[in-house]
Amino acid sequence: MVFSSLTFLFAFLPITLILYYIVPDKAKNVVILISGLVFYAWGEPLYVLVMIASTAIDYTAGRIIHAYDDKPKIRTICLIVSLVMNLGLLGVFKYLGFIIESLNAFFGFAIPNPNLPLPIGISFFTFQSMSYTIDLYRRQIKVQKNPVSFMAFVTLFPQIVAGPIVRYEDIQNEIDHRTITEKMVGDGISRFIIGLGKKVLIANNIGLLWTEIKALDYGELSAVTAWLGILAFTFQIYFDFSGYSDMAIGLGKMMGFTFPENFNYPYMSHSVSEFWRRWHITLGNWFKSYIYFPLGGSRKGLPRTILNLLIVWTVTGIWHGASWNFMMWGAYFGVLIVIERLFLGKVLEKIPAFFSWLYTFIMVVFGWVLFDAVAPGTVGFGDMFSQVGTFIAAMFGGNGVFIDNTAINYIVNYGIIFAICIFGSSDVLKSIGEFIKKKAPVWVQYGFPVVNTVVMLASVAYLSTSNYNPFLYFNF
Amino acid sequence: MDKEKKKFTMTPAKLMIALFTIVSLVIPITTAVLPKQERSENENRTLAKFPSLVNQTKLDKAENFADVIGAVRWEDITVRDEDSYMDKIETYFCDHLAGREEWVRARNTMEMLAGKKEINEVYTLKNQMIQVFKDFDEEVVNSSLNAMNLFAETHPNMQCSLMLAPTAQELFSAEIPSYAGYLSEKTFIDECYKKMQGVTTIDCLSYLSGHKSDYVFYRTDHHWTSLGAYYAYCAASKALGYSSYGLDSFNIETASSSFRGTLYSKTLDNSITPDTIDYYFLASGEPTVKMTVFDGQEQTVYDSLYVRSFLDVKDKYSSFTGSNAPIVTIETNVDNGKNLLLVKDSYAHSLVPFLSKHYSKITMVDMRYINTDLNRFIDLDEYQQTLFMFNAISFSSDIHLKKITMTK
Repeated sequence: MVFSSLTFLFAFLPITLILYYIVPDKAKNVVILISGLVFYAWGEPLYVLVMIASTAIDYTAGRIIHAYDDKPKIRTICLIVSLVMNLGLLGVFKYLGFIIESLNAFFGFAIPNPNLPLPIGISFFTFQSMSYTIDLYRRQIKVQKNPVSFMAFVTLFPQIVAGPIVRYEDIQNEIDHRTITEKMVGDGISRFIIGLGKKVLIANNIGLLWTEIKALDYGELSAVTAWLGILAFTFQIYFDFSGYSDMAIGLGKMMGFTFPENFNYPYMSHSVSEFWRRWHITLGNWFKSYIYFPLGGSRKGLPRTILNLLIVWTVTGIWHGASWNFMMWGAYFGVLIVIERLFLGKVLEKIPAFFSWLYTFIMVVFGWVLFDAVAPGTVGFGDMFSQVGTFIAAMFGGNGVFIDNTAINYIVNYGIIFAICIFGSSDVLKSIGEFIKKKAPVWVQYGFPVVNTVVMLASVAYLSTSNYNPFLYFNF
Repeated sequence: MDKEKKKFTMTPAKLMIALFTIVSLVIPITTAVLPKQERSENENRTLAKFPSLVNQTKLDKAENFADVIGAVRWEDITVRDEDSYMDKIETYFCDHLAGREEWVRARNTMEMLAGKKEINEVYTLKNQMIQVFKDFDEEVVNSSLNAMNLFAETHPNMQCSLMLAPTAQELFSAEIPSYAGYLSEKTFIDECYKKMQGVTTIDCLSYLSGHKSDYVFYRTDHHWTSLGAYYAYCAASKALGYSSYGLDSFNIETASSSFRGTLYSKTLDNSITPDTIDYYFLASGEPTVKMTVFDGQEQTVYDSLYVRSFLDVKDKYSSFTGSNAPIVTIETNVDNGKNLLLVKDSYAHSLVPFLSKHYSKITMVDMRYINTDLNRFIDLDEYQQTLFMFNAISFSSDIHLKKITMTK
């Protein structure tokens, strides 16, 4: 199920929350567990079994690691079983098809591709589960003996599908003892609605522009159209993804959980390294804790640091999807970050803030070209490069047209939405909000819930009418 | 006294919780309680039914438990595709959400505020809605043109004409910015006409353009008004060989002034003035008519070209000769022996009342519903003239006209 659907907003969520609030504290995790399974099964009726199996194995591994505290071998075996299973699931469901297709393409094999559909959220829940066994192995957390509580951690529906990547460490105290205050619920609702609005009102709308431009022939795009297209995607992915995180964090809060933040105005960054500290924060932290630091981080000399950075970023790229362009996208950021580490970072600190911002933003935008200007289903490395190359050429006027009617039409139709995107991805609104909260009279505070409610109703208007499609011709 | 009363203090958080609770409960409860509509008039379609996981026919035949299990559509919940049970639930919810039309209107208003000029392929000018002409498939158009040429060639005794009508977009083109990227209907019609062989082409565009400022197109519907059809009737007079009546020969009856047409259905914009539907009657007296509508199954006979019962429903344009039917035959007491075969789309419906003054018989055929030789329904030899009559936009995507070549 997705949050941005009527089924979720008006059936699943009210029922779940009512049950959640009326049952005694001890039974709340049962509600989380059952609602989480229903939520997941709604989108993945079969693969929910995969999730249950993986959770059961991680739970058992955790118990054994704990029980044999003084037997390092057994502990290590349990960790390896958990890692192999989680990475194996990822490998089979997410990467197998790509690996087979690539082998076939390079070596002329004819291995049949099983074409397994990707279970929703598998990249998230496997990473969450792994964090538990690894941290337990490292003795950083306490074991969870209650299977319901452990399962509730994995199936906690707000974060199951698209993050943030909540590590067990983040909620280990809350999973068994949490207090739900009126303020938490109120704040949670506000946060949820803000996320809903970001996703439904902004991301979906600006996304339409990118969908349209992406369908055009890259070899005929005017420079302005190409820029509009990739900027549309730049905003779409931010509002979509951060909106989803906001919804998750808000829902978590309504249920008494404090999830880690996932985005912190990434498009206001002044260096690429900073961008990655503000973009998908929980993923960055995950890779830092479980790959970068174990590889030695920056403690083993410069060449090794560079290598480690490149490895982490390439893996980060692949995590986003099984294809060359995601790998390239990750490696691209790895290279940029290495360059910043070597010398550019110091330069960026010295030049006027506007220029360091502009540099960072443009680099990120070019990153999105690698990320998404590739037609789905592109397997070949060369194919990917020619598409990306044509698109980037178009951005520099390579098609010989700077601006055309198509571009003007897009500017007229999407100008206001672009303005909203620019405004909304800066922290201006947040500052205004905080100013009002501090300085304005109390009655003004009541404006926030009212505005939020309007945003929610507006989102419902968009969600409910996507299938409103009148036909001109009778019976036709 | 105050101490005993537990005082309720409002806080912004409480207000948020209250509002959220109200919205989250009122919407689903009203949706569940309100009676469900089966059809959406505006969308011209049947709304989704609540999905069932059980195959009822199989269940009725079930004799044991295994049969009952077998009657469940497991694939609807196990296979993840657009047809899954879960998606059907969401569709059902969207289709039947309480106040659906208001939600649509709210969304469209927000879209317009956000600067969108075109909603559901409708471009709204000041008090005028326009169906936009964005693209067409040249192959589709060519096969229609070839089919008409071939029909003319294989029926040498038939005098064939083609009239492609512009739509409001062409007449209002000066008010639509060129960057919007819409196609020119004039260019399209000219290109089509160039390819016609043995078929007389009728230029009704220049006739209509001359009356741009008159009420020739509905504001909220994609059709032309009776006045628009009148000018087309004048434009066709030479090719069809009649002398058209002057405007002042008609008495005009305003049959409805609350017509909101197909374009309104797409945007639900209430700010556009509803249209009037006018009937034009000859002051000197109308010919008597007998209109036979064949819907593919049975025939219904009317003694008028106007089916006034449609004036009471949303689809008021259908009061002109009734809604689209495969074959409509109009016999008049005009005693000149001229019979016209009219292969058409719905633009012809408001044109026919004018034409009927000059023909003994007019047969309208709608090729969308006919998949065979026309001779199975009518005797082609009775007709001296064939008029092909479409509006540019519907013609540009017409994939049915080519079936006319099946007619011997």
